[in-house]
Amino acid sequence: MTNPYSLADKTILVTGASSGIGRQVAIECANAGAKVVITARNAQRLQETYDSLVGEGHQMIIADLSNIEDIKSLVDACPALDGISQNAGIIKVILVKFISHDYLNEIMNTNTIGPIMLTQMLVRKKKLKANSSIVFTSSLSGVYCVHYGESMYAASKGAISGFAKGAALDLAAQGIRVNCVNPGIVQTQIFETAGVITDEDLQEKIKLFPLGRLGRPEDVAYAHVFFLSDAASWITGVNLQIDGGYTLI
Amino acid sequence: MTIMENPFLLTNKTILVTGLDNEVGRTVAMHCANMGGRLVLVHHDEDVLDQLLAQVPNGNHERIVGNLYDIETLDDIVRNIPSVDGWSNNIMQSATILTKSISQKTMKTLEDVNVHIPVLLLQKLVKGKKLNNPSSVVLTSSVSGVYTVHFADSLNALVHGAINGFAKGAALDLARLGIRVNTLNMGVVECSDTFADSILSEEELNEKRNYFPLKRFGSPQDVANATAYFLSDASSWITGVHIPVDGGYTLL
Repeated sequence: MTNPYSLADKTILVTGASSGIGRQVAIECANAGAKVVITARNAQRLQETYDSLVGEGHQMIIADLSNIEDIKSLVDACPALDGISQNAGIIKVILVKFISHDYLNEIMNTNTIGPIMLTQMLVRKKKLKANSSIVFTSSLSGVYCVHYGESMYAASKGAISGFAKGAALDLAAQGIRVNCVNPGIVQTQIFETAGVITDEDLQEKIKLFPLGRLGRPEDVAYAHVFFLSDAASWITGVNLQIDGGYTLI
Repeated sequence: MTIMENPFLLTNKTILVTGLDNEVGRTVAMHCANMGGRLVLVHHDEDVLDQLLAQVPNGNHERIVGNLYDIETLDDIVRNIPSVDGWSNNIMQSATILTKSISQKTMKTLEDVNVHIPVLLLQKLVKGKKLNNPSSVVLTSSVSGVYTVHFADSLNALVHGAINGFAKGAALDLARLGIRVNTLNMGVVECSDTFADSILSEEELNEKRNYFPLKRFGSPQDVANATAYFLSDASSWITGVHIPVDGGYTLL
């Protein structure tokens, strides 16, 4: 019996692989048997991810996906792919009245324009095999709900979820599937380093999740593996909440 | 990676599967067993149970003969069900009826099969403490009434809309017991007998397949693959969702 959730014989590009969800996706893809091509800006932290991958034949490419020249060289360096997991993302908590054009450019470049252009170039350069799968880490924010000060982040994630549906339709003829996973609060460094949430806030937050805990990077990573695998071969254009029931209330 | 660490496996899990008179339910049962699960199968026809169990890997599976379509007998059936780590419900019935032709009888039948039986089964399983902490309930439903409808589809939309709404409420109520509840919304899934009595030609069927962006109907295995993901520990932070398993149909 073959395991349909296996990624054996698949090569998967994972962006944002130097930390948090992206790092965990890279680790779980390798656990599931894939050869992974990991990319991120920070060489040292990307190396740490690389060192924690099981199996052989993985690749590491430094790139800043908010920079179009970096995207071009990443695409050129990529082997033929069976899947892409896109996780590079930043968050800025800023009230609407304090939004600046620079902030907006920064967040849209990293969260929306970079992932879209990477997708476009990989398709254009025929790096995606037939029956391949693209998965975006989107968010609850901007798709199912928002919080104070999150309007730019919500815009960037709402945009990527909208793009994913359009891309799912356009690329279906080539057998390429496109899906989004929409996590609630996952305990990763992005929240610690961005100072979005204090420890006390976290304890309060947990009470808002019916399943009684915050997300773990693994929760999101397993959903990536599911959508990347042949088990999901008739699923495309979906936004999957991974939120411990948060959006039920 | 060792086998035990694979979060998609159902090893050490007991899974109740209902709705074995349709191929989706039978495929779910076989897939769960293939993924290492121990099955508890409930059906009124012993032959169906025997044939199914002959096709799956050995695993101390359990069969319970009982008619789930008879609401009066549900208490007795549930009493015989052991405690389980997951339940996949595939009891479903649909009808093509124009709104002007709806009768109370047809409406009652569809509501009983698609709503009352799954709802009461869940209630009795919870009341009887048959669902472990943690456990996962996966309800097979349809895109109809949740994402889309067709002509003469209003009763199907009614019952599927209802079960999807119920699933969200149940997901919230049962979260504190560690019980997750999710729904899979199928598009057209082609079973071996789906088009057996169809008046459509092969050309017309191909035209229909082309309505699906991925250019094919679904297979029972597509539904089984998603079901086992939601039953497994890989989805342990997901509850109250409904996702289309539809080849991109509802994108358009």
